[in-house]
Amino acid sequence: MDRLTAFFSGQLSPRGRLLMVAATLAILPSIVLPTWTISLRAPQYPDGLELRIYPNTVAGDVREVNLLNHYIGMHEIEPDEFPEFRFIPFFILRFFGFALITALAARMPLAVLGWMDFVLFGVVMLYTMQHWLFEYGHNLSPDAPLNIEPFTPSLIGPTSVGQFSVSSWPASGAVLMGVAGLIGPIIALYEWRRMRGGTAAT
Amino acid sequence: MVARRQVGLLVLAAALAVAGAVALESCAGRGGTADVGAIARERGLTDADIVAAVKTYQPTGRLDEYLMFSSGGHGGQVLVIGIPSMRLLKVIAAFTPEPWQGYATGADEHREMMRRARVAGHDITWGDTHHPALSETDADYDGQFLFIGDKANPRIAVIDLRDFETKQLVANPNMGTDHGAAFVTPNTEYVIESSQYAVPLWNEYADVDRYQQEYRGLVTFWKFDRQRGRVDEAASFSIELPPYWQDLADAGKGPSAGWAFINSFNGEMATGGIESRKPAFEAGASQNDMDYLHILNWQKAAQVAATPGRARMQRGQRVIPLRTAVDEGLLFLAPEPKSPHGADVTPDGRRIVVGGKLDPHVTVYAFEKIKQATEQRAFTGNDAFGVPILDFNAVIDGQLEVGLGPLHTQFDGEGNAFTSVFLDTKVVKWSVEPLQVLDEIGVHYNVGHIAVAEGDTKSPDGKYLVSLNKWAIDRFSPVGPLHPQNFQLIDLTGEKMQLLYDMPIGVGEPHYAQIIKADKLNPQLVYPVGTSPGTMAQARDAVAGGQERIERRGNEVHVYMTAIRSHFNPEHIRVRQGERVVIHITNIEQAREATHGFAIAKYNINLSLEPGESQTASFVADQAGVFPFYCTEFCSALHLEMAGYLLVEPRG
Repeated sequence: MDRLTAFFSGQLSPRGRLLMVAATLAILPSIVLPTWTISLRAPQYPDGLELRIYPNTVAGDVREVNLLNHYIGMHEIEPDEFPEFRFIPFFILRFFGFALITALAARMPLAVLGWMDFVLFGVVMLYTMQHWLFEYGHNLSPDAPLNIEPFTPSLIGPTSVGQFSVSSWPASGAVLMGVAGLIGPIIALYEWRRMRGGTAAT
Repeated sequence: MVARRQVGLLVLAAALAVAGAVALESCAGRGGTADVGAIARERGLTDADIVAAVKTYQPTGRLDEYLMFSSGGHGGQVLVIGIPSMRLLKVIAAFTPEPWQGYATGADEHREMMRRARVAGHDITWGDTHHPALSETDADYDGQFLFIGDKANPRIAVIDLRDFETKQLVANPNMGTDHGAAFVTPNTEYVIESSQYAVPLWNEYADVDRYQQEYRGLVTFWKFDRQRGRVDEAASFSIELPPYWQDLADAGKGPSAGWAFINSFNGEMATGGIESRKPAFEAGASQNDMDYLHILNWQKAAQVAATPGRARMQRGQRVIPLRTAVDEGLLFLAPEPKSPHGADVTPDGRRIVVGGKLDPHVTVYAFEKIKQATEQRAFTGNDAFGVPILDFNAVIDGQLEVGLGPLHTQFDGEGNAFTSVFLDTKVVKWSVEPLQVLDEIGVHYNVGHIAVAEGDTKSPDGKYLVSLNKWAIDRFSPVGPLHPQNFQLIDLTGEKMQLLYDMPIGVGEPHYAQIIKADKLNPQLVYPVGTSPGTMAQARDAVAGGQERIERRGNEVHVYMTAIRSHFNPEHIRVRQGERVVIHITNIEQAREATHGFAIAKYNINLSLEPGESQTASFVADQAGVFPFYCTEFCSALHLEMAGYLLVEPRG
C-alpha cells in the first residue's frame, strides 16, 4: 500500500519525462489533423466520397453527401451546428499544456490526473460521435423522396446504405491521440518497474 | 428477331473476346480461356485484323493517348475523337446551334455572340468549318485554345480548351468566303484567315466583268489576345491579294518564322459563265500549268499596318493595299503546279511542301532559297498586279512524283512526310531528304486531308495517321443515299503503314484535323459555382442556394433560380402574358457530371447547365397558358421529378 502511495505521489524519472514530452508532441498536431474519416463508395462515384472530421469542422465532400442525404431526408450536415467543434480544439490544447507542465514538473500525480482526464475526454467524444451518427440515421424527414429504415452508421467499420457502402475509421489525428493515450500506461509501467527495481536494490 | 439479336450479341462477344484474349496472351504466360484462333476463324479475321483490333481496342476506363480535333464540315461543328480507339468524345458547337450543349438555343450570351457574328445583315445559323488550329507556343501545341474557320460566312470561332466551348465568333467584313482558316503563327500571335472566292474589295458591288479590276483576295491576320482568350479585332490587319482563289495557308516556323505561305488556284482568273457558253470554272481555272504560292512576310506586314497612313480602313478593318504590300516587300509569288491544295511547312521550318492536285508531284520549296531570292530581288517578272514572281527552279529543292491528285502533307519526327493522294485514293510516305517514296497505302475512299499525331508542329510524334476520306461507299452498312464519311486510322510505327480502324462520321463532312497528345490538355471538370462560361468569371446574376427569388421590375420578371439534384427552385413561375421573363439560373452542384438541362416547353428554350454554370435566358411570354419546364439531362433517380410550371396568365 505504501508502495502504491509512493508511486502515485512520486517523481517522474528523466525517461518518464521524455515519454511525457513524446505525448505532448503526439497531441499537438492532432489539433489540425483529421480525427475521423467516413468514406462512401458507390458505382457511380469511382473516386468515392469522403468526409473528414477535424477537431473543429467537417470537411471533404460535405456538399455532395448532403445532396445525396436529402433524398433520404437526412438532416443536412452543417459544421456550425455542432457545439462540440467550438471547444474540442481548446481541450486538445489544454491536454497539450497539461502534459507539458507534467513533463516540466515531473510530478506523477499530475501525470495520472492528466491521463484520466484525457481518457475520459476520448470516451465522451466517441460517445458523442456515436450519438450524432444515431441522430442523423434516425432523424429522417418523413417527406423525403426515399423512405428507408432508420439506421446507425458504424463508428468504426463498414455500413451499407442504399447503393453506398460507407466506411468509417479513425484518421491520423485520432491515431496520434491514441498514441498519446497509450504513453500514459507505458510511463506508469516503466516508473512502477523502476521503483520496484530501486527498492530491490536498496 | 430474337435469333438475330443473339447472333449480334455473339458477334460482339466474339469481337471483344478476340481483342481481350490476344491482349491476355501478350501478357506472357497468362492463358485466356477463349480460343482466339477459333473465334478469328469463325469471324473470318486475318492475323492483321487481330493485330489491328489489339492496337485500337480500349478496355473500359482506359483513356486514349491522343485527342483529334476535326472540323465537322458544314455541320458547323468541331469533333473531338480519341486515338487510337477512334471513339467520338464530343461534338463542340461552333457556328451551329446545338441543343445538347445548350448552344444558341435560348441562352442570352449565345444570342449576343451570334448577333455579333451576323454577316450581311443575316442571322447565320450554320457554318462550314474547315480547318481547326490548336494554339501554339514555340511552334508546338499548347492545348489552350482552338480556332476554326467558317468558309461560307467568313468567320473564325475561338474555342477555349478549359471547357471545350466556343467563346467568340469573329466575322470578316471584307471577304466573300474564306478557306485558309484557321492557321496560327508559332506563338499564336495571329490567327490566319485567307479568302477563297474573290469578291469586290473596295466597292460593294462590281459585275463579274470587272473581275480583274475590282475583285480581290484577302488574308487577315487576326490578333489573338491570349490573356483575354479573344481575338482583338482592332489590333488585327489584312493584306489585299490578287484575285486568284487563295486556298490553304501555313505559318513558317524556326528559320521561316515571321512568314506565311498560302497557295492558290485559278491563276487564270477565270470568271465562269457556263450558261453563256463560256468555260465553266472547273475548266477555266485549270488551264495553266502553274499557279502561285503566296509568300508573305507577316512580321513586317504587322509593322506596316501599324504605321499611320500605310493601311486603309475598309469596313472597320485595317487593310494593307496590294500596291503597298508590293512596295514594302510583304508579298512574293512563286510558281506552283497545278491548282494545288496544301502548303505545308516541314517541322524544321526549312521547307514548304505543295501538293500538286492536278499535277502528280509534291513540290518542295527551300525557304533558304526563297529568302535569298527575295533579298537579291531575283525575280522572273511581275504578275498583272505588280507582285514579284520568283524563279520556280531557283527556289525549289525538288519534286517527287507521288501519284494522281496529291493534296495535303503532314510529317513525322523522323524526316518523313505523308501526302494524301486524292485520285489514286492512297496515302504516300516519302522522305524529304533524299526525296524518295518509301511506302504507300490505299484508303477508302477519296482522301482529302490527313492528320499525323502533332504532324504540323515542330516536333511531330508520328505513330498514328488519320486519313479523312470523303467517301465511304461500301465500308459501312447502308444508311440511305447520304453516306457517312470514313476516318481511317493508320499505324505508322512499322516499316509499312498499316490500316487499323474505320470510323464512320455521320454528323458532317470534315476537312482538316489536328491530333494532340492528350496530356497537353487539362480541362476543368466542374465550374466554380456561379461561373458564366462566356467570361469564365462569376456571373453577375449568379444565384447562391437560399437566394432564390422572383423580382418584378416594371414589365420584366426576373427569376433567380437554382438547379440541384433533383429540383429547380422556384418551381412555379407566374407571369402575365406579354411580360418579359428573365431567368437567371445557376447549377449550384460541384459534383463531376451533375449537369442539368433547363427546357421550357413550347418556348424554344433549352439550356445546358454544367456543374457550377450560370446562364441567363430571356424571352417574352407572348403565349398564355401553362408551360412545364423540366431538366433535359438525366441527372438523377428523381430526374423526371425535376420540373416546374411556367404559368402565363392571359391578358385581362
